Amino acid sequence: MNRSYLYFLVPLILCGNVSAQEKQLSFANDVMPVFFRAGCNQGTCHGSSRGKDGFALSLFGFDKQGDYFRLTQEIVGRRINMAVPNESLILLKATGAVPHTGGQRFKKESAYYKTLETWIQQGAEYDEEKVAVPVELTIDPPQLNFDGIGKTTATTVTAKYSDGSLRDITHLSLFFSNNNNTASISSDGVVSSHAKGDTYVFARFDRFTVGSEVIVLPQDTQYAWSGMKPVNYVDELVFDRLEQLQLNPSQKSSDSEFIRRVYLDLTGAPPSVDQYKRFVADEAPNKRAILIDELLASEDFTDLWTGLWAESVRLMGGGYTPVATDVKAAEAYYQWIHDQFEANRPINEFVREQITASGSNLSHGPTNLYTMLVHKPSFEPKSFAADFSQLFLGVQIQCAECHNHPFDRWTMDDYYGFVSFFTGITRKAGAEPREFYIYNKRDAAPVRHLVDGREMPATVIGGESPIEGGLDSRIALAEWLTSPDNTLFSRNFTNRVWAHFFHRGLVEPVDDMRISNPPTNGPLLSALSTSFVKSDFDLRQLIRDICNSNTYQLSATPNDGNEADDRQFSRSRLRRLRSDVLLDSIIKATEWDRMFRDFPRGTKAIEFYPRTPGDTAQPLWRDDFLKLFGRSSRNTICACETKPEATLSQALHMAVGNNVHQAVLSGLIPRLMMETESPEAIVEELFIRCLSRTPTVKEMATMKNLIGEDHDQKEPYEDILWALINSTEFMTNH
Amino acid sequence: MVIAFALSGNSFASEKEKVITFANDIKPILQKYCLKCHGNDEQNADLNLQNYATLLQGGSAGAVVKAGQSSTSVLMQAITNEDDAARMPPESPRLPQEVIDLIAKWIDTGLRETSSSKALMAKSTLTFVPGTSANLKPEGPPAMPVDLPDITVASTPRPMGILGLATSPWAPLAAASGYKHVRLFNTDTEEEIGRLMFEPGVPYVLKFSQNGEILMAAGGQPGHSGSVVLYEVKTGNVVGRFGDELDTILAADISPDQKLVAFGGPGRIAKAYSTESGKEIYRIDRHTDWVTSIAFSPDGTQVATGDRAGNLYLSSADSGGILLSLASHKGSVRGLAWRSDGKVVASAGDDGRLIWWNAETGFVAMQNTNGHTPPRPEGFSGKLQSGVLSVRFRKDGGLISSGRDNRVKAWRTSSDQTGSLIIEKGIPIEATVDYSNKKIIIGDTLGHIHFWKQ
Repeated sequence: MNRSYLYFLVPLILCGNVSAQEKQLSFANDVMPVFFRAGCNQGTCHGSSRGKDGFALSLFGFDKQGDYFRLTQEIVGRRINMAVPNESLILLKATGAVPHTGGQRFKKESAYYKTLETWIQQGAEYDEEKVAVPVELTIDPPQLNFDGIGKTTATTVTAKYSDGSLRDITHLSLFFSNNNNTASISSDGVVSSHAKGDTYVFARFDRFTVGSEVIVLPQDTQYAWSGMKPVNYVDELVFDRLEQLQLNPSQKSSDSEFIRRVYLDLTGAPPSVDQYKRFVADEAPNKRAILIDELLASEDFTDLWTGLWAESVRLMGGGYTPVATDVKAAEAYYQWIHDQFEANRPINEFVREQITASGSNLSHGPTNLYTMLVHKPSFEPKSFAADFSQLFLGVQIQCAECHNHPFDRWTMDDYYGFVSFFTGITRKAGAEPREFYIYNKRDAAPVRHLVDGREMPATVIGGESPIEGGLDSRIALAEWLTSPDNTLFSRNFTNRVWAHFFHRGLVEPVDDMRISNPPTNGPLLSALSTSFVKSDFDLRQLIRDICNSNTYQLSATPNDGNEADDRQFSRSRLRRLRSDVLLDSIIKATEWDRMFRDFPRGTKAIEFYPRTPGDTAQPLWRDDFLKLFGRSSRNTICACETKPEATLSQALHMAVGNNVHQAVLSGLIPRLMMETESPEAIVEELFIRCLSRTPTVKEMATMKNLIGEDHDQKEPYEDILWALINSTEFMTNH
Repeated sequence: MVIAFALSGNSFASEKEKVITFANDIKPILQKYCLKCHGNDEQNADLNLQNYATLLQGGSAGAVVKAGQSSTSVLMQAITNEDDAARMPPESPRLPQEVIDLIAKWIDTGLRETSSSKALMAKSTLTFVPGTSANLKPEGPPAMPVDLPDITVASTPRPMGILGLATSPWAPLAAASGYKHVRLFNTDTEEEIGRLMFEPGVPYVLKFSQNGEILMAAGGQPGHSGSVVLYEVKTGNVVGRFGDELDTILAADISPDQKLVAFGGPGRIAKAYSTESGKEIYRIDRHTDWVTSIAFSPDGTQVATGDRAGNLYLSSADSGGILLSLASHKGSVRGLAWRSDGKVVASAGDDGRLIWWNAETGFVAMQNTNGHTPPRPEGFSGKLQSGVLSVRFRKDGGLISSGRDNRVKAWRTSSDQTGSLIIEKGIPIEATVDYSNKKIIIGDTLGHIHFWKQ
């Protein structure tokens, strides 16, 4: 029997069909931003690589197609319920109508809910045509000056799309402040001032981050500029900034402060007694500038910068031949670097020659940029891409390997296009086991995009179209990278140089430059960079500009008002010496004949790099003192490998360790006792050697007390030397 | 009447207070806020609030409720704690005051389990007596619905996708998912002949018992609840209801002797319940992801369970002990089917593989790794969705599969395809074969049923 029966149709949703006026919502431009704004696709939630509680979205929405699939088709009828849109799990979870680990993300009455519900009612379709994509983000106002604490200002965020349209997307942006103690920003984009200072607030939308600088000054303050006159553009821009923030610079440093600082920074050790006395006695008004020029021309300057560069490219010598970093290769590379710095080779040429180098690792030094960056039996294009970007541009492009850079403008396309520069770099065995020929295969296939498998031909970061094929792609890479127009390169390099002299980059950390980590003084970084480019990438000229500035020559003693400043350079920053500079300082002060493992007698710590009979693919120091005092292990190119922090073991080592012990007993004291008549003269010499200053009357009295009447015992002098080396004054640059 | 209560003044309400019960009032609250961490699946602090008995029993720190003393009950203290970090539920705003008041009132009025009118606890113990010849072809005419009750179903702007689809082995009868109901079709006339109410929500899985007399439907409300319901095919009467899950059921089967139902879902555990006692018999808890497929072997001795991570196990149907691990899938196991001789079990994977397993050894007997790979569109270099979504054996040992390439395919062996049908719109998520072995019934994501003579 075919029983006929009745359907009782009860209208469940009154408006099944969306009215004709209602705009067709776009998955990419309407729905995805809701996931972004509500936090669904962040790394700790469904944006984690494995998703959360069984549901995965791409991090910050880099894979729209994949997200659409997971939402609508992976498990049909669950997350999106086409039959009954408001029973879609995505809506039930987001509003907390069913238990949700992430809690309630938005309310049923919200615009976000309405967007998702409407899109489902309209058929939950993927954008058919290529939809307009955001191309630019702006935040208004771009600069916020608060005259007082506890005030608020609303910001507006606007996205420009590829079709030229503009859209207010304030309600779809995520906001954050770089320093909530100074100024915070609410989820609606309202900025509140909390304390005197400067910071940035940011808005994020799609793959863009845009910032607005916030300066908070207290109301009704008595401030007047009382600083010295600027001597060059460095001073002008630093002082402008200080005045803007109502700060005054400290006094200018004394001669003894200056000479110690400039010797440590330019030669990697304090001045000798002769060097000290000559400078102090000099009465020429421009004696500081003369000294700077003298030191820039010194062998020690070349050694210092050779050592710093060698460390940054992970230069090491190994005995394990398959990785091609043989001691002989390391030596060739080191010597080549040394020659370039000695000749003051323009930095762009210096970098270009390394990038484009081909040939034997043993006889052609610069080819070892490749062997040193990858201490492995085969090259890794992705490592090169990450290291080149971080080292030469200060950009951590590797964040874009798995998703668009969350806090910068770089996309996965940028990353994979950049990796393709390195797919052809290869090596073949040379005439002997230690030798390899480094070269670039011109027809190497590019890498494929992680998300959609597209071939990604070599393209410079931020480039619109791929480079032309045919040539050695490294030539195009080097041309672009070191071009005067590539401010990423010049800004990165000047920022690193600045950081060497101030122990803080204008961007810090120096190898993490991004939109959301802006410089503390943008105009200054631009001016330094421009000037560096104009000087034809002259390292010594850049340093000359810096060292001759009043800013560099300020005292470390704070004034009334700049005690709290640690980022605007209103006074010299107290900083611990690098491990190798510290060791060279001890050696120079004590005349200690210290040996370095696998290196000839007379080698300085700054010249020393790890040489091992084994493999170099691991953290290496090969010197316990340098390891203990935080030298880079050279295991990665990260600036963070060099550790400036003080540790208890360091204090113990300085107090009772064998290095300082041996240095103190090096023979200096007996010689001084033999050559010098008065104990005062010996004490004074020890003070100058260690601290680049003469002892105060009080200090001298204490020392003489210690030495006693019969000043023929060497122990008291040794104690004094030991104490000086152990002083904070010795271990820091100030 | 309810509205009258709510609106009426104190005078009337105080005279005759509405009785607050665990089943009617408290359980839904607990379900919404507490059971994810203090339920049958997870018992933080050894506390299980899902059942009345375990709630009274309390947790590792003792009883959480004291009849008549809401102010000293640990449960109340936990949900009203002023300290955001200590208050339950964690990292959530304080529960609405009316909810807190309701729980307090329930404690103060004596922790009643049920009112006499409606006993929720009875749901999972609805008894069912298996037929004596459950796993044989029935004598006489096979079961067809003859006297279904008229039911009212909600109209929806779009049809529900055919998430579940099953055919009677002996009668021209197919069952397909609808929104809160099951749709029945006569596969000979290809007409829709009736509907069965599915109270738990959306049916995700439909299966007929081996003798065609019982229809099993399993599903629920995503993120909220899930149950299995057994219907007598002839009358449409509900004869059993099992499971009290916190999420919808995604996989289920009834054993050939009808003594067991096994089911699983996002909870990652496959559970087997006795249909006679309504009690849980065993669990298979080796799965590392959502349980997506369950199938009893034709002789009823084994049960195959597959999950979203691609794990696939054959377990003893008596004890749940794992016998074999069938490791090969790299993506979700979307379908499982046994050949009628019990020697081969086939699995459909979202990784694009269709695998015939030797059920005795656990090894792959044969497989097709791109049976449902769609043609690559020009200029497209990304990953193609090549998932196999369903698999069924025919009585002659042939096989039917459907996949994300919008195709339904018939196979003699993995390399011998005997037919292919393109579904133009919607993805064929289910495809099965009718009693005659000649007609293939297909259900798609847009809620359409297709009949294909093959």
